[in-house]
Amino acid sequence: MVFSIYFSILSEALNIQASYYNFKFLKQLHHNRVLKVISKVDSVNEKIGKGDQQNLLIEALNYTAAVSITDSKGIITFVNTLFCNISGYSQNELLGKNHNLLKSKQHSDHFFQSLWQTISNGRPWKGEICNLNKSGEAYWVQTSIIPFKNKRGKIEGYTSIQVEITGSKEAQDSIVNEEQFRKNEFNLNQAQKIARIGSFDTTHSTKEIWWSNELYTLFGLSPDNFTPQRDSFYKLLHPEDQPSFEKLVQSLVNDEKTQFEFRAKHTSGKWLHLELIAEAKYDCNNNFNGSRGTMQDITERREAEAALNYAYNIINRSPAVVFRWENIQDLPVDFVSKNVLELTGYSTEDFLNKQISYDDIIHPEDRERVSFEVSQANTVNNNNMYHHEPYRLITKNGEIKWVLDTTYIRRNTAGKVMFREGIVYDITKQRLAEEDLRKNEALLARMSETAKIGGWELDVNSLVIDWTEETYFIYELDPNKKPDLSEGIKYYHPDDRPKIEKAVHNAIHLKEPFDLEVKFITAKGNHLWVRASGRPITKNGNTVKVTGTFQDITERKKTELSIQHHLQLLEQKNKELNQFAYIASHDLQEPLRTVSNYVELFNWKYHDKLDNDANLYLSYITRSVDRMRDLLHELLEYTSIGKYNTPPAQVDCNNIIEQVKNDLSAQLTEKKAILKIEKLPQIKGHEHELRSLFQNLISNAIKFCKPDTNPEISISANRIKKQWVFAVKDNGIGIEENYKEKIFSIFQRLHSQDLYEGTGIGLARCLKIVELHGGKIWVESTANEGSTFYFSIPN
Amino acid sequence: MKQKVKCILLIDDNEADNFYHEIVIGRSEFAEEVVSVTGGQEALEYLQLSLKGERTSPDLIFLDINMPRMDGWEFLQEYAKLDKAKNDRIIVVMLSTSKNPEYVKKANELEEVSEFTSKPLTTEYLEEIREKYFSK
Repeated sequence: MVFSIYFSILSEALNIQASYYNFKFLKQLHHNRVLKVISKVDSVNEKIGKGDQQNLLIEALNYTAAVSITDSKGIITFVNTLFCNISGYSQNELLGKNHNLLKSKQHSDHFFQSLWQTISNGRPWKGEICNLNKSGEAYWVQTSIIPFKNKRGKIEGYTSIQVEITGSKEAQDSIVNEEQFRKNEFNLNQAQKIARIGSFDTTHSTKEIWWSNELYTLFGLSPDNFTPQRDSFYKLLHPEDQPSFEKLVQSLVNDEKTQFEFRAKHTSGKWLHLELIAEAKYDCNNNFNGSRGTMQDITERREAEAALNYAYNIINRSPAVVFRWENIQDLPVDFVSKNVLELTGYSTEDFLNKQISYDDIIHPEDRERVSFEVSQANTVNNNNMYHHEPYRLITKNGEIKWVLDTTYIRRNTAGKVMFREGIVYDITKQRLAEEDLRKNEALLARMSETAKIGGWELDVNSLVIDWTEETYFIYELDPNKKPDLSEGIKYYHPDDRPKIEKAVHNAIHLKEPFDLEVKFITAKGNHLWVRASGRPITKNGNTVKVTGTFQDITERKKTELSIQHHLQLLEQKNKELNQFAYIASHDLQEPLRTVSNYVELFNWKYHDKLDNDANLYLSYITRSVDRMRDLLHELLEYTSIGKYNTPPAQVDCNNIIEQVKNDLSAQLTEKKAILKIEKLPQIKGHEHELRSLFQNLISNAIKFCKPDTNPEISISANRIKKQWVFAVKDNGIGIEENYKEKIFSIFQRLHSQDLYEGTGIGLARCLKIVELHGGKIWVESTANEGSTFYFSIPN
Repeated sequence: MKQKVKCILLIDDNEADNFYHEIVIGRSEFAEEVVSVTGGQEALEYLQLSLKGERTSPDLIFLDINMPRMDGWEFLQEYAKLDKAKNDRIIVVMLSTSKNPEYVKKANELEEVSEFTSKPLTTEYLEEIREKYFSK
């Protein structure tokens, strides 16, 4: 095992070296024999003698190359004879020493840093190195350094193969096989072309500038039309970059190596972005003697960067925050766009410095779910993109934000999740709006449920109906069922089905809206009353849809029907009561009349034969009987108001007043009453009742006059809106405020029979008559000044 | 000296009324004879007898409407079936407790009925009747 490793180390080292310088014999040696380089190696190859190989190799190398082997820290563990010869040190002087014993000041620190970086990473390095020999003289060697590793892949040391090239550059060229050289050059050119790298070499002393083919190509030039010189090159530079380019050239004198970006013009006129890496050249006396280096066209890179920058700016101004999370439990962030500040209140730095991890800002109630979704997504191999259900973040100042998170899982070739990239989008506003909408919808649903109002929409073409949830509920049908028109109509009560069919037909064809209250039988056989309304929706003159409401009005209908029933009942009872009152008052009159008749007879026949007491008693009986007769008469009149259903006719109120004046002429004369009557209108009404109304009011006005005062009664009528308002005004005793309503009740009297006689039915009768005509009666009065009775009769 | 009618027939189930009306008629010196019956059936029997000449034929009938068994209206139906020529000169006055317009209307439609008035009969009313029907 160890053998084979050493074999491969050396073989590789030689191969590189050989391919470069074409040492054919070495290649031969390497191919034909199994080599073993011994330093600390003591294992034995069983097939080939150890000493043979060793000697052969060492002998061969001693002719051509200096070989050294160091451990991983650069301590020399082996040198061959030629190495000793070239360096001027003996083997003993070199073993155990660090290889940097030979280091000259020819190379920059950077040079060695990059060398070490290459080989310590396990890669071979080749190049020209200037060393110092024991006597302090510089010598150049073409060097290959090959790291070798142990079983575990750890670097154990380095093999260096060196060929001296000092002072023999020209000689070297001749040594090198021409064909091979061309081939190498070709390869180099190809490589440069692909990388769009051109190289250059300037020599200070001769002012010579050499460009590689690719460098010409970069500018769109060719050696035929362009000679690279300081001035001609400067013309290509972007004016803004010329001063800094000048500085760069100056700095090279001191800095050995520099890297610089500048703009220069392509022949097409397009500006190129170029990256220049230059190294100072020194002559053998360590004097600056020009530079060499490369220029690389990084225009695409710069443009891509600009585009990326542009995109990044857009992202930073957008509500979409880009994250990259490491694939670790609490989701540390290793990239996040700057707009994270607006979303979370934490800056990019807060995340990148691990002051806060993403997990910390997820709402505690959502954290478990989000991490579950993350772990779910990790296990699904074939889909690397997933969407989280919206979750909440808690911002730095405690605000809650809803976000939408679309995440891409980045895996390595083995399928292992390396990290996740997500776009986190603030949807708080939408979410709140959605919540509002949901609330509103729920409210509407609850409201329509409470009101038992459903909705429906009929598509006239397909005859398919859309129902709201409540409509299904009223139908008592499965909400998943999609009804058509005939299904919708089927559930109407057979009595009413033609009505609804006609209404829908008319809505579609005549564009007539409808609003029906009809009987309905649900899918489960429940009998309901429903209100179905519909309204056609037209497009280009055709009905395309009919839409409307559907409402369970069973309760209301029941109430309505019950009210109607009760009204009928009440009406009947009222009739009966009226009849009863009529019969009672009528029949009561008979015995009373008999009493009255015989009291009168008694009086007539026996007045002279009775003593004073007996006559007084008789007079009380007579008065009571008279009063009772009046009461019964009035009651009879009261109950018979509107009893004889003659249709209302046109009545001239002036005529009525004339009749009343006649009827009351005795009273009017007795009290010396003054009647002032304005011109009264003709109204539609019941003449008999109206006469009774005026008679009552006028006789009241006469009756309730102040003692020793002549009654003054004025009657007028005014048209107010759609009715006539009559006023009967007197100068009587007036009515106290408390009694203004009470006086219209039946049997309500305010005065003793001795003071003002009466039955207490008169105004109740007036009220009943006015109400019969659809009007109102009221009184305005001041005690001791008079009253005005108003009544209105609708025209 | 006022001329008296020969006979007045009172038809009323209320005896008190009949008796009162007899007195009022007596005070008015309106008739030579007052016959009172308490029902339609008895009145018909009396009229049938009078047609035969067994009773005095009445010149004037006061007929109450509200009576048990046969009321005034029913009596009038039967009355119409009697020998018309002989009954022609009998004046029928309907009596009622109140001037029920329905009754008034109905009474006016019947040719047998000459007058309609409310109880009680008064001497003034009797005077009116005498003037109207019996002054010749």
